[in-house]
Amino acid sequence: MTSDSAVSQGEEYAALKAVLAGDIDRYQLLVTRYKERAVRIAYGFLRNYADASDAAQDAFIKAYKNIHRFKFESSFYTWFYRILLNVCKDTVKKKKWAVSIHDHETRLKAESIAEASDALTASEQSDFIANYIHKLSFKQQSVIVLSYFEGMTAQEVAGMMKISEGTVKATKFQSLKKLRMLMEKK
Amino acid sequence: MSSKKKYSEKEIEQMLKAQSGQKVPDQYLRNFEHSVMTRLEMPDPSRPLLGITAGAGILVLAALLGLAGFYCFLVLPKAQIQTAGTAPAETPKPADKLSLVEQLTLIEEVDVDAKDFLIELMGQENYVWTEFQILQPVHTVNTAPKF
Repeated sequence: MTSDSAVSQGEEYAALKAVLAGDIDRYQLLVTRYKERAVRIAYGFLRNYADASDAAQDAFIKAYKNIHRFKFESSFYTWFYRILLNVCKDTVKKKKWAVSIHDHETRLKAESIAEASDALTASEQSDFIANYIHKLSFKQQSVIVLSYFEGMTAQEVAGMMKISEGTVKATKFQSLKKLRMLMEKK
Repeated sequence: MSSKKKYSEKEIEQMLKAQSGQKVPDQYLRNFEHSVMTRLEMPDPSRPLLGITAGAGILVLAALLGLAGFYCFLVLPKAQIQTAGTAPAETPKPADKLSLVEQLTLIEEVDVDAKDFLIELMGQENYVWTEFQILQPVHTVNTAPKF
């Protein structure tokens, strides 16, 4: 942990204590610090920025309402993203019917992209693969989103998901295998 | 319409990594804090609704318990008495002509607590069942029971 992040954690803890004492405005510091990462993670699951922004806001509200449960043993970041993952999971469940309706359309889009995949830009390629991510289990999606989209280490992902590092690595391996199978299967 | 392209895990990892650090469009972050803080300061609309729902739930539960109690303690015992009462009506024999088997069958339908007492009475051959489901001595049948 760098001194900068240590200072950040100190600031965070001070803000959290102030919030717990009733100073609601101090919560804004945490929202500002993590909003972009929160929306980006939610986007990894929901593939829609409007939904991702709503989910991130819901997660911040939920975190605020449960802030008395924060134990000051981990960083706010780790604790908050666990809440965010749960909100995303619920949103994915609610949206599942919509995903299945658009599934055919998505598959056609993915196939047409795949036909020209040799000539795809990096951004197009990432969009192409993102179409297959929602077919993974939520646990697999979480590992993929946190490891690749957020660039977290296996140890960080394990801490966030409350699973062992070995499970993270195994899940990552299985997810890649499944993605390859989905992308090649026609 | 099929892609025959094969992918290595390295390629797939590269595609996934291309998503990292992707910039979130400004429009989704612009009023983010303001929205969150406004929602935090607003009274939670789900709370009164929760209260109403819980209240309604308790009322429904109380009503159901009341109905169940009414059925168990008032309707059911009466129905059992009536059921027991229909048996002799279907066999309109004179009370003093009931066989021992018929009398025992009737006992089966009587409340368990009274059973021992009734069996004891049945041991005395002079007692029979009347059409009113009262066990009384043969010689008093068709007259008002003495107990």
